[in-house]
Amino acid sequence: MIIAWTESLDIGNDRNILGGMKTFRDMMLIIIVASLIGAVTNTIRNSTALGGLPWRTPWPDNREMKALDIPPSYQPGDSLLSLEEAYTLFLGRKAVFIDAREPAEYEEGHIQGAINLPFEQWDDYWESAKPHLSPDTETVAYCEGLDCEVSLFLARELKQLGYEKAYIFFGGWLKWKEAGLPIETGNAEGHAKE
Amino acid sequence: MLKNKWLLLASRLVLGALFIYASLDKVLNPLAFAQIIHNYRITPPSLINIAAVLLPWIELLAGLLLVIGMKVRGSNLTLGLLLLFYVVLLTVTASRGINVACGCFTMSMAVKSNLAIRIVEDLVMLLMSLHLFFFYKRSKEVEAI
Repeated sequence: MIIAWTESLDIGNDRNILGGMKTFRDMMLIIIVASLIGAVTNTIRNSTALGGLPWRTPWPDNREMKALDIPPSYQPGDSLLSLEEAYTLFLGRKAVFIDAREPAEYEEGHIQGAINLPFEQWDDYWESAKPHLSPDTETVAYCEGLDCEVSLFLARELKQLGYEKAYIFFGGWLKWKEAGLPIETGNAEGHAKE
Repeated sequence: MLKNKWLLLASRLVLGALFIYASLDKVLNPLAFAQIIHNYRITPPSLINIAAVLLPWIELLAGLLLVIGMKVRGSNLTLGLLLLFYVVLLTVTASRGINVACGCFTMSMAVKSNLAIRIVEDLVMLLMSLHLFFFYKRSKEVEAI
């Protein structure tokens, strides 16, 4: 009965093995041809700065990572720090922690010793933040954690300005606080504006 | 009813057009697509860029062939298996609790996708593909060419 039913369907002439083979062969052909076109196009785009993708870029292996560890808009070149790494830099006392959140959030609580450079108000705060930074010392940008990504944008901006050691602690304020690491509140020294 | 040639034509054109549309943004922005693949947290790092470069072209070529009516069964099988893979991938991703930009039709990261809706979309497309798989006859393909 099943045979009769499948025959009544008249499965696209694939009832015989040869028909099925042809479909499969066509699929392989399509995949191979498309891959070749893609590979050649990408090679050309790479060699002419037309927005190709380098064949090898150092993506971190995130298969075992939890959602918080890697930001969605991560790009090769972003230097991410884990909580442990950020804390190690903190203990070294040389790195400058930069809070990229709004001043009100900063005043409610921030990583001990961090300066405030709200990314959204970069122009107002940059001049007063600048003296704290030097191209030779590490900076660690952070924001709220979770989906907040201004720390990434801030670190990219700093790198463009020549501060090569610009790192991002994506775990941010939430992770730091959660781990019970040193914090402070209010307008700490180094807080900018007027 | 499912053998109706207009219905088959509709499945062919709609499925092909959707894949062409979906592939264009990825072809144009391989870096953005690579980022999205990375965000699925399932791909070995060494394969990310290769997938980001090649996959869109497979979607594009198979979609084009489907629309113009060449190698319909072969391109339909390609897209059908891709859809099956996407459905499994999205289901696994959703069950792992990863909130990811789908990268299905747009490379924008701004909006997190509702994966449930994406899965339903893919299932509907998969139905079109199955429709063609079971009812599209090669003889028609010869006529079409």
